[in-house]
Amino acid sequence: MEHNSIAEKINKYVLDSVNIDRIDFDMDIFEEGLVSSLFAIELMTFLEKNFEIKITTNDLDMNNYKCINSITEFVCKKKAGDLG
Amino acid sequence: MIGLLSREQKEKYTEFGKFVQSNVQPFAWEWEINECIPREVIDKCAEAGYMGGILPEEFGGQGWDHLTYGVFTEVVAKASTSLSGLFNVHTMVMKSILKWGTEEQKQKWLPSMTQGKVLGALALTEPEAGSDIQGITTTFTETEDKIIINGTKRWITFGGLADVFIVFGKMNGQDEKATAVIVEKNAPGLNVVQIKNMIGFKASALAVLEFDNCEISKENVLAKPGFALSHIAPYALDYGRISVAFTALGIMRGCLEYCTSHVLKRKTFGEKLISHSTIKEMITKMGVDYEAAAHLCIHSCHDKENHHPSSAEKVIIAKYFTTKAARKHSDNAVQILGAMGCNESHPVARYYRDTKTLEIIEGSNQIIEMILGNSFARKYRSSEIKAGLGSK
Repeated sequence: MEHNSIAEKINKYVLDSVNIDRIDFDMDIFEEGLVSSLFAIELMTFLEKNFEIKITTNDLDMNNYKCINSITEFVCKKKAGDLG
Repeated sequence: MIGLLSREQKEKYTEFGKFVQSNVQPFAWEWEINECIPREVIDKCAEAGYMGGILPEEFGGQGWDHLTYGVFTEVVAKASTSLSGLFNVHTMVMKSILKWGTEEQKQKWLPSMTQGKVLGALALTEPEAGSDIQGITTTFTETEDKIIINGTKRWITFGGLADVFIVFGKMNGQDEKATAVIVEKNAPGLNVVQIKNMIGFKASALAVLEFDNCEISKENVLAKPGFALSHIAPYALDYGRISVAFTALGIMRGCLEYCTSHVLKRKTFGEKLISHSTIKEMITKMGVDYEAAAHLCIHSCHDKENHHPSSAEKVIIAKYFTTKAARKHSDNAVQILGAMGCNESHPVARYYRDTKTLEIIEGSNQIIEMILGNSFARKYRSSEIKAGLGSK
């Protein structure tokens, strides 16, 4: 799956989860208070299911999840096996 | 409920029922009176393979799917809500270690926990922080090779019986460094004080954990500092809510069974109770809510099994609906059974008390309304916009 289609899929999921109509791909979705207390776990489940990756303790780094661009980068690296 | 299960799950349902009928049902009242579940029954559960039912076989578990775990909880809770509480907290700890633990932590704890040799409890709640978990004030202070814990945990289910705890606090007192650590009950500086006289779950060995410069190894940190409240606690509580939802379902099942037996036998004014329209209405609502709750519980387990991103919300919906329904119908069950239901020796009296507790634990229903209210508002607004019906 290409970088852009991964980003679009993540964008669609995030938009469906937050109370806004569009989002800047660099906007910090946690800092902006857009999401509920369940979102971190729901996002983890979404990424694992849709991109066939397994998120472990080593992947717990907020830089991986703060915005759509960083999540996309994380998924691409994970799929490429760069993060184990 | 049974009709919605697979063949394997139906077989397990029957197996669980036989186990509970022999080892739990006859003694549950005594446990409540003594406010203690004897070690022997836990050993019997371990022998049957139930302590680690939902864990993978490689760690000594049975590899149950989520629904089988739920069905097990329903069957146990109908006889003893307190015992279902033990499986709840024990499972939350095992699943947390399985998901977030190092290989060493998994090997050290999981085989002995699935064998029931070590019991786990989750220490999150504090005197000043319950559903608002961000408000916890327990501190972890790093030294060269140790972590020093100071603070108090309260209302810890099976804290009085557990051998190991997952304790939540803040590393060096920093709000952004919420952390979970594994603490053994004999860690120096930990004092466990059992709490008595709870309104429900009386045999659940609730306890206060007092940490006074309690020392643990740095190797006991679970996952990484900063993720305890965003990932570890919600992950554990997701399993806790499955257990609470199915516990409430078990109570509703019990209410139905005791009430229907009674209204088909007992006569007033020359007629069986079931002939009276007010009784019919109570039984109808009880049965309909049981069926509806069973569908919600089963659906949430299927979503969890399929790793669906909204499964956590589905579990919350099931917990909310089922605990509220169980509260209402345990009240009606006492009403239908009359004086019998008002006596502590009858299970519906226990149901009446326990269901109040179910509305509070694993996120009070008011906290759930805050989450679901926002979520539903977003969803329906979103649908309206997509359909071009509403203003932005």
